[in-house]
Amino acid sequence: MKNPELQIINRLKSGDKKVFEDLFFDYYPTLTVFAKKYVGDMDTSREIVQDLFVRLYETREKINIHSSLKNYLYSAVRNRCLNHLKREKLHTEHTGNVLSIDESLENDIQAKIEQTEFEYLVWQEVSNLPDQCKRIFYLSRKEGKKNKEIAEQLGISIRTVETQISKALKRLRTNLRQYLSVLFIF
Amino acid sequence: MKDKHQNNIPDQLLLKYLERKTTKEEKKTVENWLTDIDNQHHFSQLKKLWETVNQGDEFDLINVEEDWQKVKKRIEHVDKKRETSKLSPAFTMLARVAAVIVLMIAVGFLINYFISGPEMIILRTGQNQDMVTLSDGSNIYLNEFAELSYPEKFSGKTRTVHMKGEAYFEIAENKHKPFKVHTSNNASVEVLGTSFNIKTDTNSKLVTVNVTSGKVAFYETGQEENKVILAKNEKAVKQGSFIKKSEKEDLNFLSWKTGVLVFRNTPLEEVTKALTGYYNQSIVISDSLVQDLTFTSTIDNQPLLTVLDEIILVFNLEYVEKNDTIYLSQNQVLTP
Repeated sequence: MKNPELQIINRLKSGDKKVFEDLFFDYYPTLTVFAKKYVGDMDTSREIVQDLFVRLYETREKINIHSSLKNYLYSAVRNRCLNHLKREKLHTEHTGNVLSIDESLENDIQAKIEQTEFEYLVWQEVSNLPDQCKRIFYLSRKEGKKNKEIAEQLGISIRTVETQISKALKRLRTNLRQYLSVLFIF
Repeated sequence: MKDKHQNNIPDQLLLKYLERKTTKEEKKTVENWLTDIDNQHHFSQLKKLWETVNQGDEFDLINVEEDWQKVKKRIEHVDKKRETSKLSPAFTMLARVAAVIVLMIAVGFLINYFISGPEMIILRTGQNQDMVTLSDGSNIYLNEFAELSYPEKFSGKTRTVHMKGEAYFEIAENKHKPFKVHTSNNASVEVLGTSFNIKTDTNSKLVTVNVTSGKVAFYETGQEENKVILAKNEKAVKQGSFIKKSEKEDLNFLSWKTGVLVFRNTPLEEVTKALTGYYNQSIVISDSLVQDLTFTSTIDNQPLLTVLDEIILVFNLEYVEKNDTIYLSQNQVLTP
């Protein structure tokens, strides 16, 4: 385990609330979206991750982490999600085949984690685009509007719209270059 | 004209291609450009980026600050609980000492209780079958080589027994005191009042439960949350942590007790399996044509040879005993 992580864990154990808050802000978005990949529902996902953090604080003295803090958190979220799904299933039907069967079919959990983190990075990069650029980008991507429509709506030239979208893509590519090359899938 | 310069085609056109909004001309141009491996690389990166941009909306739904406030309130509550449970040191010391004394007394009682009772009676069968009526009126029938451990009288909130091997249970109904059977191979069966058969196998480590009447909860000991509910005429098998309900009806699970074997259009292969198990005599079909013949009959406490005679008569077969095994085959004399 890395040294700075060891420090964080020790601080958590001693009840350092600031460190706890930082940890929450760092991991909450990705853990929640990760949970949603299992339970499908955003509200349930948020609850599961919040419960985890509260529990972590409650039992902080007993924290015993062998792998990285990140893996520990993702693992804990995954376990809670699977338990939630098991309980839901038993509510609705009485067949006994334990959900373990699905667990054994689950492909690379690590890939799921990496995917979630990549999604977050991309989202952050898009959020960081300059205002005008971001607005145009959203209209084009989210609302599927044609360049001509966007130009009309914003009162600018089509050329400007095209340039801004190109700029946005170029910027995303550049900032995310290292992650994109790793995730090379054709 | 193949141009290897990867920036020759603007990203916007590639996006159009991704979204299938290109004209025929444009499509051709892009696909031509894609024959180059570097361009493919460039394209797949763009594709990945584009797909992920479209997926990222979920983060918009998360308000970290808001949810943090929720968590913050909860952990403040946690701190408060800890504070209020901190009492004066002198009081705490006194409380600790008192607790230890109470604990010692309790342990003393428990030890006494365990040494002098409740008496667990152990019933074991060898080459005989046996039955016992428990203090609540329940009847338990044990097959050969089985074991049952039960108390003289049931105390506490449940009626609990332990068993190994095969036994048939007729449990007297008591809604207020569930009846629990813990078996070898780590299974548990729980009922309020009903009839069922449990069979544990030392070699395969399987546990099979067949229900005759009522409802039964079947689970791996300690894993009650994953219980399987079985109703009348249902059957399930536990293998390790998995409990699977059986689709096939098992007509003869109780033949060890009743002495009756029922066959209804049963393939001969299964018939010989049932006979092997019941009579403890290895019976094998040595002719593949014979396996699928179906047999319908009810055999009530008959010796094996009588049964075999009936089968060979019906199907024109013959049997031969060799090395402790009986072999069934087609009758050679009358078949050409």
